[in-house]
Amino acid sequence: MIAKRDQLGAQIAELLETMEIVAPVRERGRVYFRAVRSPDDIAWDYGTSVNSIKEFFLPPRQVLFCYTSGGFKPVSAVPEKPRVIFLARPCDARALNIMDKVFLGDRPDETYAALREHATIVGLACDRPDQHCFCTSVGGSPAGTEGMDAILIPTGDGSYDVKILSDKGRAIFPDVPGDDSTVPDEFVQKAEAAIRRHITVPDNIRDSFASDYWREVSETCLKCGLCSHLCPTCHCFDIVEEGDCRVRCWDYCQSDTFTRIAAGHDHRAEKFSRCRNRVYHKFDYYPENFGVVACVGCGRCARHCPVNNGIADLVNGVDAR
Amino acid sequence: MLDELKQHVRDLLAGDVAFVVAYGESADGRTAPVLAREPADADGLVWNDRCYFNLTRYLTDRDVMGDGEAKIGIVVKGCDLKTLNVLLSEKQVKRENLAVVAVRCEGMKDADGNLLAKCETCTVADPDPSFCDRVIGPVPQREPREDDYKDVDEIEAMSPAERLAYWSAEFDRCLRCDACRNICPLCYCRECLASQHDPRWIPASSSIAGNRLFHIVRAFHLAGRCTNCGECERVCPAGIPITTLMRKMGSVVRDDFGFEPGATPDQRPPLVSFAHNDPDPEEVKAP
Repeated sequence: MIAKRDQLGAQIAELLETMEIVAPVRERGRVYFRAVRSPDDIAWDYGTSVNSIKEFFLPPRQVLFCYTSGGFKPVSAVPEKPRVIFLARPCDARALNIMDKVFLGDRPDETYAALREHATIVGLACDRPDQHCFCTSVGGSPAGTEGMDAILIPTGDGSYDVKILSDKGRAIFPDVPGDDSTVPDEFVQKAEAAIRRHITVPDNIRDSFASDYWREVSETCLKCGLCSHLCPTCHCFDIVEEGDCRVRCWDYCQSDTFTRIAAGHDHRAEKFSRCRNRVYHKFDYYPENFGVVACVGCGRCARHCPVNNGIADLVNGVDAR
Repeated sequence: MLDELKQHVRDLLAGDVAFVVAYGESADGRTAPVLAREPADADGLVWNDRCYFNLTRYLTDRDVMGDGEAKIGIVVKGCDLKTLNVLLSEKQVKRENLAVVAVRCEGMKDADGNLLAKCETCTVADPDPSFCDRVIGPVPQREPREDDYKDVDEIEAMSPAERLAYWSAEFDRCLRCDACRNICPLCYCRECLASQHDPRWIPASSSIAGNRLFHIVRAFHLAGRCTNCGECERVCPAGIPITTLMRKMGSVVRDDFGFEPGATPDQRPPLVSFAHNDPDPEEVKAP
């Protein structure tokens, strides 16, 4: 079914009465996923967003429970209102499926599971990749539907072809017939051809563990957490005490405190070892543990790196050695 | 001009310089900081209006500098030279171990091709040769406009409640990715207060209390030291106007102590030195 932007906007306005709507919004010339107050806030024609939708499932700060002299006080992770995330790109939606491997495995993480359960993902097929996007090199597609409950396929002139992919998606779009959930071949081919960046993920990345390559490519790295914080699949966290509460917050493997252990020893003290670890976690350990590369090719790490050093180049270069 | 730069770097590397921190290209073809180690590496160096990186940041990077005893070279713009002067006055770098290659600069541009705000008011586009070993490039023709501190004044005009609301909203956006701190050439503390685990002075999580404390502590620590290179704000993924905070702190130190950080390599920073005749800011301001 084809829906116009203002039709969808009217529907979002209605949903806002009972649900939280998260969508891309423009702030200072850049696009961020934020909870919106009105469909007018939405940046429908965005290309890429600075943040991914990860933070709505693994919040930067999540209170797990509190304790006072009165005793233990559990904190519910269930959001006050069910949440719909609109216009998530295929790379970001697919990243959720990849994080699920960790958080919804044998021992599901209660808070993550609750946030996943109460969220519906309405994706937006991608016709606006930039020079840093390389989703097709890591098993994704700009027309992919993994991790989505419904997908909007832009047909030009501010209209979208709406496809339903799950019961949750049906609940948002009850009027859309559900017999056709495939993205048209024509769109897929055109969208995939528009991805200009291609990388080679080597099968034998482990062989390069002791290579000087890692020292060379990490020289200018600042060991900041920008790439990890914007990455849709980076999910390492720290558990800290704040006041009366135990809190889970984002942590990052480049940080000086990430691998510091009792007595002050740091088994990844040098910059190259941290840089290598970030690449290996995504391209070696994760595939070994879960059968999938933990990178969706969204390009954020390269696009926003303070010193213009992205993971695509780090991985691509290994093979050249 | 670029040829002259490349040749000079080549000569340095053929001599007693271990490596030169300079501008080159990343693997995907963007301008980026590079370390040239062999004379042949000089061929890949670049100079363009995207060389906004303040390379002095690497002078205190222990992974890059090792024990800091080797002689190295560094390419600086006039503004970066101010940061270098602060590092020298704070005894973080040995001048005799440095070959300082300054490049005359017509200003740097952002991704949209606009001149950076700091470049519009730059008065050091033609670096002071007494602080460098070599100055390269034609003398800049651009006339700077006077810095009106409009960004600071706009916030000063707010009521305290409005100002608190403004900064709270800004800090609320902070992800605590540490990019601002880690790219700052003057945030060289071996152990940052914000990273200490025990005691945990500043909450680790991205929360309004922790974020506010992080930015306020950083602003105070850079008061009278920050040379307004603007790298913190450039890299901030949340777009927090960090330089406005830094410029305010800098203007207070300038007004009270008449001090401009980075003017010379042998300054005594006012907030870490003591003199019997130090002005009492409250008395100075009294009518």
